[in-house]
Amino acid sequence: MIKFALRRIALGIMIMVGSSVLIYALILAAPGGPEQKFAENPKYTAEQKAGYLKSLGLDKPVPVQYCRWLGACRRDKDGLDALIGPTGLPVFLPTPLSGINTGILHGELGYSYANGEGVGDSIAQAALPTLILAGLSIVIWLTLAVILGVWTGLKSGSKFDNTVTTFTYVTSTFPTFILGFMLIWIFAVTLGWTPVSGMTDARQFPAFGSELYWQYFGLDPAAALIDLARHLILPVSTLVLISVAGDSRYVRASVIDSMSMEHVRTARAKGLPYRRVIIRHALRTALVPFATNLGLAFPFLFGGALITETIFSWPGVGRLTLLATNGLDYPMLMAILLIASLMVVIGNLISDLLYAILDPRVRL
Amino acid sequence: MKKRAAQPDARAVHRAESPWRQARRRFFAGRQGPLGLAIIGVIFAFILIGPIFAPFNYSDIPNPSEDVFLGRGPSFEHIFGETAQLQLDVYTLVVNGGRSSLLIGFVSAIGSIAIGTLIGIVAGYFGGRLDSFLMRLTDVFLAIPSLFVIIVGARILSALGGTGLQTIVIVFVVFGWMGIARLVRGQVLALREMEFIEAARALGVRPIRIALRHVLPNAIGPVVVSFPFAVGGAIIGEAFISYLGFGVSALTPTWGNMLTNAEDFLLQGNWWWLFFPGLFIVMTSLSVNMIGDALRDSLEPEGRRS
Repeated sequence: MIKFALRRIALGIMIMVGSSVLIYALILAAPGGPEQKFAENPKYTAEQKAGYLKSLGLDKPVPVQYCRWLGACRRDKDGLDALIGPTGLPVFLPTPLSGINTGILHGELGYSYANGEGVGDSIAQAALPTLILAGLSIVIWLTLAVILGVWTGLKSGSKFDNTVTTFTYVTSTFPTFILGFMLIWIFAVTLGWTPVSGMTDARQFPAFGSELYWQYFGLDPAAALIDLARHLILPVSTLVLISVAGDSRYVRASVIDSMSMEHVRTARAKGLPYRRVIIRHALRTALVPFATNLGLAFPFLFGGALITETIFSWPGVGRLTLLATNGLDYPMLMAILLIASLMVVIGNLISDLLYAILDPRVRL
Repeated sequence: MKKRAAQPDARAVHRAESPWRQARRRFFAGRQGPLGLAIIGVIFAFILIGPIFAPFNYSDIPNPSEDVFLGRGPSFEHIFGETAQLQLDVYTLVVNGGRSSLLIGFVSAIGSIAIGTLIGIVAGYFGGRLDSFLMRLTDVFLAIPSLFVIIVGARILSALGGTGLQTIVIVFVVFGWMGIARLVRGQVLALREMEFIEAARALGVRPIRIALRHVLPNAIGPVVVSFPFAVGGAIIGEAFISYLGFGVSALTPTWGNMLTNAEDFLLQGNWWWLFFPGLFIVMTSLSVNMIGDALRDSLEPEGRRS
């Protein structure tokens, strides 16, 4: 098991290195660069330009630039010396060991072109709203998927099964943004039951996440939570309606499978109560493959709500990504893409390991 | 299907039905597949025949006759209504936009599936170092969430000056081949060990020929199944990206870019601006999903059925 885990982790690190190269290449292909802001300035001579690029280390070959950005090379040395830190250990190790604190490996994500703020701070600030939205949605849709899946699976072929399966199938084929618009039109514009968008009511509360907001929150937590809940209804419904069908279909199919398995039949033949057979015997086998899928929900918590956040002006990571994309804010984009792919790799790792624990055959 | 099963065709006893014929029979015996085909057929007909009835050219910007800032709802002259601001005819936009959207969907799907199949066959059939390299490459591309990288890729290309249909197709192909590659590789790995391939190898057939004539046709099932899903994914993806303004420029209408700004006017009650393109996107997505699911059920009957 440990060998399997180590092999998986090594593979994950390899994939992360690869995706960092891919992200770097993507941004390298993009137009614009640090010298772009002086491009229209006639007083800006070629020597000044060269000096500016040199001061940023942009006169070095691309692999060296990449290595420095990654934090596996020192910025004050060239050649192979750059790989070894002042402590004599390789530079890519954590700061206490290598004595180097530059590059993304040491947490230096850079500064946003748009407002000069630290990229890491901006992302951390946007992560909480996304976590609230995506986390709540994921909990609701997984619960709903298990309930609906088990129920429709046990009553497969019934009218109830047909209705639920058809309804969830149709909503799951809706493009997220169209469904979002539809819900806004029906529930916010026509009926006026919910707010149209945003995370807080701007007439009552300052922007979410600011210090002032938490002060207001402290004054009247109940009102703040109700306000938040009202704003959560539509985006959460969107995500749940889109995603519940796939998982509930999955649970339904495995419930149907496991109900015809021998151990379930034996349990029923022994005369155990129906309810007990279902809960103790059938669901146990039915939900094991589902549990391993949970690891795949991990990246969703960071970037899964991109479209929904855009439609509902939710101040999370998705919206931050779009703002950065729109403004070609490269440091921000690189950091977001890197963190997003790190989440995917970790999620896959969790799911693989869970699977290996639950089903020993895959370790071979 | 039930009737045929009850009275087996006498000829079927002598001549086994080919797998493709079986699949076709199963496809048309179900409800999902034919219904999906019917819906997409209506959409195609609308897009091909519709422009004849479009009274306006989509590039004509009408002189705003009155000082109406908001759009106007469906009327006899404008059956799908008019947009706000420029007061464009929504019917004209939908008919012309559908052509671009479907074109993007089909070309992207064909492109990404062709590349994915090629990589999958090469990796699976030739194996060894090439296989591990190609599969690690696939892992790397899969590690970055596709929506993020597609949006960023489309934005970068549009900043470089590409705002046409081909730009978005390139992005979808470059970041859309991985799933197919994995799928095909798995199929090929299983096929490679089968007797008929070994027989072909023993007869001295060249590897390229084995890959193309013996492996490919037998590995094609999942590829066919994934085609409608890829078309739907590209159409929806294009719609979202163009709606954001990173995709196809408004000079070429698509179902996505005609929605740009539309939601601002939803609050003022301009529902038709969103409703008609939205209806077509939803119907297309629903029909291709239905076709895909029906194909899966008929091509892989032993697989898990929903």
